[in-house]
Amino acid sequence: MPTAFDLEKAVAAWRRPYEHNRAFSEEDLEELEGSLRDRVDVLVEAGLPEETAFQEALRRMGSYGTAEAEYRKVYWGKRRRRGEVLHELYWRAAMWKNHLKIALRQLKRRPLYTAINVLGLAVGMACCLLILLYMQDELSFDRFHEKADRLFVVPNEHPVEGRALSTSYSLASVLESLPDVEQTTRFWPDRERPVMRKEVQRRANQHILLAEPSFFDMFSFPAVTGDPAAVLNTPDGAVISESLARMFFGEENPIRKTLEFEHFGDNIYSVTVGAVVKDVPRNSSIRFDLVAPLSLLGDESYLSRPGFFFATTCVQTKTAIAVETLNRKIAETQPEKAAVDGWFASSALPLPALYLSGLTADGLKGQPKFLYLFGSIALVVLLISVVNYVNLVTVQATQRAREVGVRKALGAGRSQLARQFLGESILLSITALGVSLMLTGLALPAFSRLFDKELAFWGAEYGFVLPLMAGFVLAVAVMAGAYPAFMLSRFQPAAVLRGAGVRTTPARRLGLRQSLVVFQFTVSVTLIIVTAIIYHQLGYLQNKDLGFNGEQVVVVDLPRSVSASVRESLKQRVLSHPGVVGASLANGIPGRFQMGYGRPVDEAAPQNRTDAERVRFRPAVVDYDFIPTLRIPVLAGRSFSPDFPADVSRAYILNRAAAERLGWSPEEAVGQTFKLGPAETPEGEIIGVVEDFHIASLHQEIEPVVLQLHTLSPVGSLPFKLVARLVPEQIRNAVGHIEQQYSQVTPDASFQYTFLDEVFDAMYRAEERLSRIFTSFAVLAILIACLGLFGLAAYAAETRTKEIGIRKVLGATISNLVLLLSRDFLKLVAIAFFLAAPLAYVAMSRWLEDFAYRIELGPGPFVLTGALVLAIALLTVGYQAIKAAHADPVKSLRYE
Amino acid sequence: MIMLSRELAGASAKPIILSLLASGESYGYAILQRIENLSQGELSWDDSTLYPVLHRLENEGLLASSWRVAETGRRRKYYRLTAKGQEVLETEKRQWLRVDAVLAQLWGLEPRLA
Repeated sequence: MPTAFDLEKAVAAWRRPYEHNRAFSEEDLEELEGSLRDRVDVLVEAGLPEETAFQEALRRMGSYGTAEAEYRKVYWGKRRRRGEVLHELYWRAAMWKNHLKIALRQLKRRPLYTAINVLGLAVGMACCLLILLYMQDELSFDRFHEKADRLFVVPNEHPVEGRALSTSYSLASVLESLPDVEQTTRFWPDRERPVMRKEVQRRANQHILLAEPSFFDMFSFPAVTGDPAAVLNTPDGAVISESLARMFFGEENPIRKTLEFEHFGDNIYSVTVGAVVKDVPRNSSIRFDLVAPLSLLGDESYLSRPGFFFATTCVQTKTAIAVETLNRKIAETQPEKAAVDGWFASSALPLPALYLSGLTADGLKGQPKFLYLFGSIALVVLLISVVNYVNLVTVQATQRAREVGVRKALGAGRSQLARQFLGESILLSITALGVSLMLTGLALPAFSRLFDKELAFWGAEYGFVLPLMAGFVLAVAVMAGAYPAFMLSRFQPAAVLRGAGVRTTPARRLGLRQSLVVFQFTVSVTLIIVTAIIYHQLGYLQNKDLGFNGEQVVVVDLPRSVSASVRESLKQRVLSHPGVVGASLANGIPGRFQMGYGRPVDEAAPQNRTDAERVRFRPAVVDYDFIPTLRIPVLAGRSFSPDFPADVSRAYILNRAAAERLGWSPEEAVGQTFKLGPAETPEGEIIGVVEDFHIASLHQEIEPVVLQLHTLSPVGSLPFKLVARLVPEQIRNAVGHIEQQYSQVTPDASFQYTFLDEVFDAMYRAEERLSRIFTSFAVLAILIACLGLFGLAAYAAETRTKEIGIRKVLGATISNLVLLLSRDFLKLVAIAFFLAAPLAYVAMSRWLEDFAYRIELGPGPFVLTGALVLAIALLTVGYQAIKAAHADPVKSLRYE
Repeated sequence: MIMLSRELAGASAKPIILSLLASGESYGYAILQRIENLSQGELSWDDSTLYPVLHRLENEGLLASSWRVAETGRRRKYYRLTAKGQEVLETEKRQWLRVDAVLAQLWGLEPRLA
C-alpha cells in the first residue's frame, strides 16, 4: 500500500538538486517553484489527482539538466548586472581553498597510502628528470658558437676503413672554392702533451691544439686579453686558456712569456703567449688549453704531403644552408680533386651534430645509443609510476565509495565531486613534484659523475627540461584525478550506501590492472637479469688472466728530452732498491702499445712469402728485461739476451697469435727468418715465441705482436716508459725511491706513474658505468613494481573481505587464506618472468658479442633473479594477505 | 505538433517574448500559457528554457522585473518591457517581416503584412 502523496514533500525533493547548484539563486528557485505550483493548481482544478498533476507539471517544467545548462549561460550576465562579479570571484576562490583544505585532510587521514602515492610518483618523476637533464646536456654540445648554424665539419671517408675526422691539409683549399663557403679552417685536434715553463720548472700535461688564424674567427672562444686570431698569424704565438695561465703564471701577466711543449715527432716547440681566452665550456667537442699555430710543424709543402691525415676541416658557409645542399656541392668536387690514397671527403655534418656522430675521440664522444636507451627508459619509468599512481588512487577511491555515496545523497553534484578529487590529485602531484625536485637535487652530483658531466637545473642554453616537467605534472594531476573522479561520480548513491560497493572484477581475470602489474614486473625482471649479467662480465674482464702479471707493476713516463744513456742509468738506479725486483724500458706497455706517432702498423715479409701475403703486426720496442719483468711466459725459443750480441740487430720475438698468423706453431716459428719494416730492412730471425698478452682492451682479439730490441727502432718509437715490478710489501718505499731517482736524473720534469692493472681497469669505465646505471634502474623498477603490486593486493583484499570472512567462518586457517590471496599475484609474477627471460637473453647475447672475450650465458642469473623476484613479490603481497586474513569476519560480514 | 528546429526556436523566442510583453507586464507561467494558446499547442516551451531567456533579456536591459504578491499568496516575478526593449522589438519586427516578404515571394504566397 503506497504511502499517501505529500505535495510539500514532493516539492521539497524536487528542489534539492537545484538548491545545491550555484547557478540557481534563491530568487530563481522561488520563481521556478511558483511556476511548478501554478501548474499543479491548474491541473488539479482540471480534475487530475494531486500526484498525477504533480508528475505532469514536473514533465512540463523540463529536465534539471537542461535547466542547469541554460541557467549557467545567463549566470555571469546576472552577476554583472548586479555588480557582484568580484563577490563571485571571491566565492570561487574560497571554494577552491575549501576543496584543498578538505583534500589535505583526506590525505592526512591515510598517511601510508598518501606517502606511497607521493613517493611512487616522485621517484618516477625524479628518474625522468635526471634522464631529461642528461639528454639536454648531450644535445647541447657545440651550440654556443655564434655561427653554429653556419659551421660544418667535413670528415674523410674510405671505402674500407669508414669515416674519420682526420683529413688532408689540402681539403680545405678545395672546399674554399665552393661558392657557398665563406671561409675554412683546419686544425689538429687537441692532444694531451706536456707543457713546460722552464723558469719556474713547471711541467704538466695540457691539451694542445694546433690551428690557423681563421680558427678564432669561426669559433666563438671569447678572449680575455689580446687578439687570438692575430696571435695565430705570428710564427710562434700561442693562445692559452685562463686555467693554464693560472697554473703556469699565477697572478703574473702571461703575455709575451715563453712556454714549451712536446708534440708530433717528439719535438719540443717554443711559443710566446700572445692572448688569453676563457676556458673552453664543457659542452664543446673542440677542446684546448693551448692553441699554437699549425705552421709550427712545417711549411705548406710539408703539411700537405700525401698520406698525411691530421686535420679536422671545418667550413663556414655564407648563410645557414641545409646540410644536404652543402653535401651535394661537395660531392661535385669528387673524385679528382679531393681524393687522396683512397680517402675522399665525406658528407659534411653541422658542427652541433659532431658530438653525437661517433667521429670524435673516445673521451669526447656522445653516445646516441644512450640517448635513445635512456629516453625510452625515462618514458617507461614515468609511465609505470603514473599508472601506479592512478591505480592506487582508484583503490583508495573505491574505499571511499561510502563517503561518495553520502555526499551524493546530500545532493553533491557530479562536477563538485569531480572537482574534489581533482583538487586532491593536483595537491598530490604538486607535492610529488616538490619531493622529486629534492630527490633529483640529491642524486644529481652522483648521477653527473657517472657520466663525467656537470649537470645542473639552470643555466642551460638549450633548456627544455623544466617547462616540460611542469607541464607534465599538471597533465598527470589532471589525468590521475579525472579517472577516479569520473569513475566515482557515476556511482548510484543508494547502491553504494547499501554496501553493494563498486562493481568488482574478480581477481582472476586478466584485467587492465593485472596486465599493468605484469608489465611492471617484466621490466623489473629484465633489468635485474641484465644487471646481473653485466656485473658477471665486468668481473670476468677485470679478473681475466691478461697474459702477464700486472699487480705490482708500475709504469713511469719519461720525458722525451732524456737521452738513451740517462734512461739506462735511471733504470740501474731504480733496480738498486730492494723493493724493485725487475725493471725494463719499453716504448709501450700492455694496454698502450698504440701510443707513439709513427705509423702504428708495419708490414712484415717473412722469407717464404710474396709481397701479396704481407701481414700486419704491431711492433713493440723493448729491452732485455721486458719479458722477465712482466713475467710473460716463453712458449718456445728464448728471450732476448746480452749473451747473443746479434739479438740487438737481428732478433725478433713473436707472440702466439703472430706465429699462428704466419702459419707456424710456436716451435716451428723459432729459427725462421723474418723482417719487419720497409724493403731495405735487413733480415732477422725469430728467436722465440711468447704467450699472448693483452695489449688492448678485451673488446678486441689479441693482435699479433712483434718484439724487438730498442736499437732497431725507427725514430718516434723510442722507449720512454720505465716498467718496474715491485715487491708487494714495499710498494710505497719503492715508488718513493723511483721518484727520487727520477728527479735527480730529470730535474725539470714532473713525476707521473700508473699501475698496470689500473690501466686496464680504466678501459672498462664504460662497462662499469653501464653496470652502475643498470643496477640503479633495476632497483628503481623493482621498487615501483612492488608499489604497483602492493596497490593491487590492497585492492583485491578490500574487495574480497566478505569472501575471506565467509571462508574464515567455514574454518579456513590463516595460512590457507594467505596462500589463496597470494596465489593469483604470484601467477602474475611468473608470467612476467617468462616474458622477461627471453627478452633479457636476446639483448645480452647481442651485447656480449661486442667483446672478443666474454662469459657464457648460463642459467645462473636467470634462476637467481626468478627466486629473488618471487621472494620480493611474496613479501609485498604477503603483508596485505596477512592483514586481510586476520580481519574479523564478524565485521566484514556485517553489511549483509 | 510541429517541432521547430533548435535555431528557429531559439531565434523566435526573443521577438515572441518581447511582443507579448509589449501589451503589458506578465509573469513566467502566464507567458507560457499565452504562447500555448496562441500557437494552438504547437509551441510549448519548458519552464527550464523560458526563464533563462527572460533573465538574459533582463541582463541585456530589454526587460525589467519586480516581485509582486499574487492572489494565491505566493510571490511572483513580473517582467515588463523597457524603453530599450521597445526599440529592439521594433528592430526585430522589421527584420522578421523582411524575411517573411522574401520567403513569400519565393514560395508564391501573399506576404502576410505590408
